[in-house]
Amino acid sequence: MQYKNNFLTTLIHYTGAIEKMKISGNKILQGMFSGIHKSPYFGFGADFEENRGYNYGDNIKLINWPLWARTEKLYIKKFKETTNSDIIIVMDNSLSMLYPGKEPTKFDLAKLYSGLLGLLFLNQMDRVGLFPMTGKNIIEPLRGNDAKDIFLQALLQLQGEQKISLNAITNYFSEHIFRRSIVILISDFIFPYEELENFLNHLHFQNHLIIALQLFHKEEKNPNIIRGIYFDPENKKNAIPINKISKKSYLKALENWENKIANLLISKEILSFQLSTDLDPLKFLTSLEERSNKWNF
Amino acid sequence: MEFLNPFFLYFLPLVIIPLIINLIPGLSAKKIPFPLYFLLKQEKTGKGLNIRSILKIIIRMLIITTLILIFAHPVIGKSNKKNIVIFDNSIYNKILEKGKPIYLKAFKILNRLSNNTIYIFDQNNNLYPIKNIKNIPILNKPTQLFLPKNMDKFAHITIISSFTQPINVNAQYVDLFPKLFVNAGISFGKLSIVEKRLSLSLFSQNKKAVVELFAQNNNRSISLFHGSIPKNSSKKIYVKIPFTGKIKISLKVKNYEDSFPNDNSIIINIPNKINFNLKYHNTEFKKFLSVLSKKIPIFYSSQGILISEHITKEKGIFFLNKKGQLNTIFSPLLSNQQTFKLYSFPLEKKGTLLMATVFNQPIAIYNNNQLVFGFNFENNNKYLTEAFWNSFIGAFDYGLFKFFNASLNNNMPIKHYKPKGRIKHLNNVKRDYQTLLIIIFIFLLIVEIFI
Repeated sequence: MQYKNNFLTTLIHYTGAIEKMKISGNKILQGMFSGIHKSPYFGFGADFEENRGYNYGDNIKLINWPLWARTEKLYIKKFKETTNSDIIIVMDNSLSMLYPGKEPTKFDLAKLYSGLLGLLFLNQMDRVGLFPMTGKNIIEPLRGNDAKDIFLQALLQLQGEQKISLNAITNYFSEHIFRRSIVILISDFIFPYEELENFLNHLHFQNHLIIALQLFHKEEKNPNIIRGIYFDPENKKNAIPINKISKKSYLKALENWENKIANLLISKEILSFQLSTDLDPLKFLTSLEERSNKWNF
Repeated sequence: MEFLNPFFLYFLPLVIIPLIINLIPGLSAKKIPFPLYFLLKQEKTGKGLNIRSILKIIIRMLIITTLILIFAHPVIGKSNKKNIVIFDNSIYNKILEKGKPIYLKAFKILNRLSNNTIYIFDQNNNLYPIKNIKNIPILNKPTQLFLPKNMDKFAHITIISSFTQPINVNAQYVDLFPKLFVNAGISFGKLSIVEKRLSLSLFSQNKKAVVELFAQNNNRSISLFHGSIPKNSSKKIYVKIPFTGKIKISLKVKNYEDSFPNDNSIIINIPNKINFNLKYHNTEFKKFLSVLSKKIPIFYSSQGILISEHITKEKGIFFLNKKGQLNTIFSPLLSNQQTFKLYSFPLEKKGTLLMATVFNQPIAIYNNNQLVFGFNFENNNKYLTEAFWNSFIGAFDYGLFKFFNASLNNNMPIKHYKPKGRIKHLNNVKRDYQTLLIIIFIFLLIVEIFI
């Protein structure tokens, strides 16, 4: 990954590559305008879906006359409707994301991915909203050129904060988000397991298309463990004094934890990606695009 | 055990610092933020009874202790000898180093050592103590660092000098010699007038010196030796003097312009002919004979003659020629204070000559008008020591003879340029533990890093 000085220059570096990318959801989504996602409604699109018996009041322009000639019954032609969607980027801006303190941190990476995905979806006329997990500075789904400015501005101003409550976000979702949308979770998923499970349950229940990007710093995968007191950046009271170097046991525990999170995500039908700081963002985006093409939409 | 700087012992309570740091929670361990901290396996902390941490605390305490002790400077056997400072106030102290005469540097050191008895040299090269160090006269001639006999046994001597003259004493020293200068000099050894051969030691101080040795008389000048001397070392050479008469032998340093202005010359006199004046002391001769019979009882000539027997019979000094006839060199049966002229005698090629005389006049032996042995002694010693006698006894083969050397006055062979140890402190002690402590300190540091 080429991380260039700061978030914005790196984002600009990759924007050229995402201009022609298109990503559609594999689920039926609800939007306001026409777009590239599958809609639950039928309408006047180009693609023929099915025939339906004529009811009183139906538009006679839609009567399938050749079929009437064959069957002497009236049928109405139904067409596929496409829609745009709300993209809700839920971004983890807790202090744990600021590891290891020097650029690029996981938070920088999260900003970059949310920026890239946000621009990508805005390009394909979706409405993009930004939900920092701290619950502050929320940008509700918007679309158009103004939305790009507002979205990037909000991203730039976003900073790592301490207090995070997944329950609060769950509440927010239940109160404000009614349409089936694409929810992109960008986080390291270092949360209390039960809270995370509740949150994902809720999203799953709302029938959103959820894409989870689990971020790792390369030093988390291969840490240089020295003697000292290792503490939780979010809560300094949570600390473990390490006296003996036990890298093997750490790696084993890491693997177990990863499996646990992965199982949880799979059980909630969440499309998840593990992204490390040394991975090229374009690789991830192209793979996402390829997968969306295979979704038999 | 005593301490030279006991003041530093007041810092010993600092030893408990590592213990305090370890006892106060959170001070000792490094704090590392790590989001996945909960995956790290919890082990026993360093604050409990962990052997490694205890070792580490002990080592840190030892490090502080050794550091304090290094400054406190422990010693054993602080001696009660007097401290004597000898300041060499020779002309060489007027030499300029960076525009300042080097004696100014010496006075600074003297100020520091002013609690001790300070000696300087007078015009006759004798030491005398001074009370006021402010008005030390600087002589206009070189001094020679001859110390009174056994002085170093009763006192600790510290010599402040430029050490342009060789010295051989046990003392501490402060070397004033300017570092940029080179000092090359000669110590004249022995001269054989017969062979016209001179033994001398060349020495160089501070730097490697390329030197040339010249022999000069009224008419001509000839280079005797040309070569280099490594720094702080000496080179013993023998040179053959090519002509007779009054000869000045001098040394020049060739590779440095700013050489120390040492007086590197001597005038020797090698006569064309040597008179055979001999003064004879009967009592001394008897002494000589006893020495001769004890120390060198037998001298074999090529014909295998026991000359000592003849001596006891005839009481004289003889030479046995090829025909087996004894040639008397001189007869000892003479009255006191008689002057002899040694006559010439036939020397066969492989003959052996035993010579024993009491010479305090120049003497020479000729063979077929060629000088084969000579001696030039200028001191008028009345009481001759055994060593003196020994130096006048010799057996030499004709053509391959061992020559007797004449010691040139006021010169001594080089053994040391400087005394043994550079000045460290004025309190001479039997054992000094500072170096040991420094080694222990470094060792502990290494252990602390790797443990």
